[in-house]
Amino acid sequence: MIVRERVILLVEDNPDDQVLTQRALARNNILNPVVLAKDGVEALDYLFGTGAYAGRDPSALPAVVLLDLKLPKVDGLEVLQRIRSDERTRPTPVVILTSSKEEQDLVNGYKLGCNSYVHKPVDFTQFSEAVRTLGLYWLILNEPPPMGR
Amino acid sequence: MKTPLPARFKAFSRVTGAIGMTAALLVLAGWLLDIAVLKSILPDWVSMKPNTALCFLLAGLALWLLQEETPATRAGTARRRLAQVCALAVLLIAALTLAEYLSGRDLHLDQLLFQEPPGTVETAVPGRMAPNTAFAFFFLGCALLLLDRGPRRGFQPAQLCGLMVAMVGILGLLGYGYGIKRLYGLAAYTPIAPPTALVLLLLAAGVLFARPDRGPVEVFTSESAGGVMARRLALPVLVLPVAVDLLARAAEGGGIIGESVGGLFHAVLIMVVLGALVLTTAAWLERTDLQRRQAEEKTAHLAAIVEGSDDAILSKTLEGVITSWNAGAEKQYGYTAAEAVGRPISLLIPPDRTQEMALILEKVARGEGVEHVETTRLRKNGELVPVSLTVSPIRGPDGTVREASTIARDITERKRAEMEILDLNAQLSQRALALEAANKELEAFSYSVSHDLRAPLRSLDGFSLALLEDYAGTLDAAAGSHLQRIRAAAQRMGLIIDDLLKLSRVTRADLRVEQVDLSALARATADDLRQRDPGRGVEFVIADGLSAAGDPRLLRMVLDNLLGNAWKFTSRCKHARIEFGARGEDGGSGFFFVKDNGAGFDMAHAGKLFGAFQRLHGPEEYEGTGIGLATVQRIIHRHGGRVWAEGEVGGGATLFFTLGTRLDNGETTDKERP
Repeated sequence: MIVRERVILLVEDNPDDQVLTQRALARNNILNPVVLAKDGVEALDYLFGTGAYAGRDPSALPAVVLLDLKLPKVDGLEVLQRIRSDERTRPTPVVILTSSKEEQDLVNGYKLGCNSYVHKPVDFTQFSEAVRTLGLYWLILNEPPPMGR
Repeated sequence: MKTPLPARFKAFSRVTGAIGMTAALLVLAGWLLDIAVLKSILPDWVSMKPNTALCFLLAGLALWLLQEETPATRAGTARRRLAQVCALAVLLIAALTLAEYLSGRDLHLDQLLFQEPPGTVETAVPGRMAPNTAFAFFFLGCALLLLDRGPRRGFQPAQLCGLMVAMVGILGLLGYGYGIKRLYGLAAYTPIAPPTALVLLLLAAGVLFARPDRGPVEVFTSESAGGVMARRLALPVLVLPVAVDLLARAAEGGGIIGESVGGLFHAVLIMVVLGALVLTTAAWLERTDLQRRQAEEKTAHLAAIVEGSDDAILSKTLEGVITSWNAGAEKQYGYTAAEAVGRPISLLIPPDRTQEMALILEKVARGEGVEHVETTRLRKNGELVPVSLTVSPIRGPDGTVREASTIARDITERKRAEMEILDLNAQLSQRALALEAANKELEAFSYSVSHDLRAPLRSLDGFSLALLEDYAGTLDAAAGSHLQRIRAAAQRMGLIIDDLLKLSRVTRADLRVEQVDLSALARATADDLRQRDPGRGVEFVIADGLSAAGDPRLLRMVLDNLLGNAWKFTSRCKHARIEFGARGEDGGSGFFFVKDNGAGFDMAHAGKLFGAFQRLHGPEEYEGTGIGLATVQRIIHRHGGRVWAEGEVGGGATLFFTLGTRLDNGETTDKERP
């Protein structure tokens, strides 16, 4: 039986933040493959197996989606909405990871059905700590939703 | 309510008809049952003949039935026809009897009803009525038939006939009274019977007053002074001379007064009675005249009010013809009263509003008015003037609507003010919209700030750390220190951004006023502080039951800031003590305070405490952005309160604040201070 290793889908447009997040994951021994999407379109392409990722099976759910909100083309909340409105992708755990402290984003995020909302701290140590906690929780403690098929 | 005079006279007329019929029936009964007293009353009086009684019966019936001038129902018309038939019958009998007398032939109608034996008292031809009686009945019949003929005013044929009948009656009665046979009996013919004369007189009066509102008789029913005189004086004038004369004669005959004194007695009595009559009538007229003058004064007074009014007050008939026009109308419309009265109201109406006036007049005719209807009218010079109209019905004494009165107020000023208000409102809305837009932009700006400014800071911090970690071996101490400074600066900037955002949010947010338990909030803040730094042992003295009206979130921020500051500045104290309490009464000169025994500050610099970014300590001494107290001040000011501080270096600091917000009726005394 092949144990497919669960993927972390990191949706983040800021290249610095991409690097820092991956660095944080690595430093905390979280070795799952990380798929990078730099905007909403890429994220959706990956999740639904369209565009650049044509042929990918959407029911192969990632272990967790780390979703930034401010993205070019299609923004984070819309990606979340699309995830939740499709039967196949609905169970995907989505953690909103954003610099925004605006209350409205928090409200909308939960309204659209995110699993968690984490604020990205400026201090990298704290940020790293946050990533570690997230990783440990979602990838190790949490039971991921079953894959289709 | 008193029965109006015409009705009373008409009722009298009916009564005479009834009396005539009753008398007739009694006499006929007398003939039928041969009761002498009913036929003649006194034995030496001539009897009332059966035909006379019959004529009285018919005439009385006719008079009774002829009460309605123009019958409106079928029954009414039938009654009228019957009455006319009766009157005609009377006329015929009289005419035939007169023919008998004139021609000397017997037409056999005298004994038709009942037989009278020849040789009865004073009767020339048995059963035949006296010629003067026949004469009277002829005119009575005519009067009844002509009752509603002739013009309303002026000569009434019926009334003339009535007078003829009355004359026969009066002469007859006078004749019997004075014993002058010639007055009641012609030559050798049968004289008129006394009761006949009386009943004739009564019926004549009935006929004269059957139509009391027509012809000369009308004066008797008039409300004017003339009517009063006629009513009061007519009967005395007719009756008095004869009565006094008879009285005098009786007195003379009875021996009470001497023979020659009779005339004097007569004259004196007349003087006295007439004098009394004249005086009482004069007094009555004087009184009514006074009333009339008072009424005229009142009218003049009201007219003056109307004339003096600034509003246009005018009256018009229900067809729209102007009947009165006050000075205000002259001023408003430009037409003088002479030019306006008698002209149609359409003079004032602009061509597009003609329907309106017709509708208004309709409403008024129904008895409703219109109030404060805004419309336009046309001036003499062709200008349009906006007016507010109130039109009311004018009712006559009988309650029907006679005319309409209009009060028109020039509302040009008001309209202008209204336009101005609309204008200002429009401007206000625009400004409000602009404000709204500005706020939205501010909102977007803050959002962008909160997100976009933080990201580079994270990069700064993160990669500095990465350098430190990955290149620990190759970097020397100085390099390491530089990178640490970079990190520290980035983090500090993050804090400043956070605080600035909080400050801007305070200004933007709507104040939601509730009753807030400040003691509870303070305790929660204290708990948070303790949790963040469990190692410190700080004594918190928080008074119980402190509450105020305000926005709970913002008040929490105030306490977080003040208690947080106290916490920070007592960090080097061995026995840190932070107190939160209140002094004074609510709504009076009461205030809240947060007191600590920490580092304190120099009062000389107190003015700088609340400025944004102003700090009285360097970052090496105590961390902080310098925005905290600025935020506190802004929140307190939004609540209509004041905030101030006292302190001494090394001796602790006390921050005081008041809250001006009140809860009653949801009002707040929220004042924005610059």
